[in-house]
Amino acid sequence: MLEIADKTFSSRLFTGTGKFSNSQLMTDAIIASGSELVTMALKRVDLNEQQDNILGPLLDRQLEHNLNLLPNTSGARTADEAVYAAQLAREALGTHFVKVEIHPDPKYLLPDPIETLKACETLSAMGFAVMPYIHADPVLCKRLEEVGVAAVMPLGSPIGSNLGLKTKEFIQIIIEQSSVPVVIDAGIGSPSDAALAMEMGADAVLVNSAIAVARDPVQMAIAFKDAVIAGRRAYQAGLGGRSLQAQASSPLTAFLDDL
Amino acid sequence: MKSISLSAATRLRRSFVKHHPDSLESCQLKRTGTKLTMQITVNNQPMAVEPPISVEALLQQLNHLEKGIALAVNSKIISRSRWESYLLSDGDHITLIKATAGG
Repeated sequence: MLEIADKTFSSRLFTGTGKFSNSQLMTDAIIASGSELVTMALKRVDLNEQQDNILGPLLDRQLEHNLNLLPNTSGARTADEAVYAAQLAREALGTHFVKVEIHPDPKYLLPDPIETLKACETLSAMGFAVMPYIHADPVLCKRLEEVGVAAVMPLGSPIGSNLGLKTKEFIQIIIEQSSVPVVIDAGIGSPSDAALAMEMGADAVLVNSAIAVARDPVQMAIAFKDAVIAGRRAYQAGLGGRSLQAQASSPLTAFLDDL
Repeated sequence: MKSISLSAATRLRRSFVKHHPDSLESCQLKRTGTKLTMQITVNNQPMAVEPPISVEALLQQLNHLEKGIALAVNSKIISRSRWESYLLSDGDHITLIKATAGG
């Protein structure tokens, strides 16, 4: 079981609600994934528009499936904006969990480490369970731990890029050093990426685009669920060592010499 | 701070308008029929409302009392438990947010 702040999760696959073609498909995929922590964003209510209730069907099944909500601060460009967004999110959704996401540059959506650290310090002191989206920077992870974050969420590659674990070696260092759970967020493009992250000892992965934009999101959600379970089991079982030279796994057929 | 008290400026304007109904007072309180209105914005959209009006009454008028909504007045978050008693003032800027899909 994975523990983050005061919550316990039996699934190590966290999911996002963005980019699905419709609300029902999103709900079906998330439920099929077995995910128990689901990210969402905030927006201003548009008074001229019909009410957007895209999350409605999912939220209706929240209790039945032990779905915990993880609002993000996407759109915030500074620590102050992220703190404000987190407080609004807590009011709106009744959770003290928050994914701090501060990415001022829309092209690569890479997180601003300075503003993120500031926001995390403030929000942790206010009692939030803070999960920051960050670059795979082991030094920053330690600084975030010091200010009291509940977990760290280093990226594998840019959000929505599906490029996989381009930061693999740095993630390995983060996992080795971290005393809070490490959740690999962003860039996980296929179940094999997720399995790899789990084999390396990540505590969980957060997947959104790769499920949402798949031809069949429900089947892809199941594939990710299986991959995360397999990767975790492999990590616990302990991977064998690697070497360039072959190490025979069958007895060499010495008896043939007798011919 | 008592949240239900109107600002001093609003009280003055109201009193002025009451005693000078034909004036071209350009303050934001206007006389419409026998009722006073005040100007507020909701997510940057200007609107006129009749005081006294609570946050809850405003949201009811806007048909936005659903779950999953959070609200701030002049960037100060007003928790749901205070919506019924919190009275809006002339010139207030209201921010209304809700959760939506995102990763």
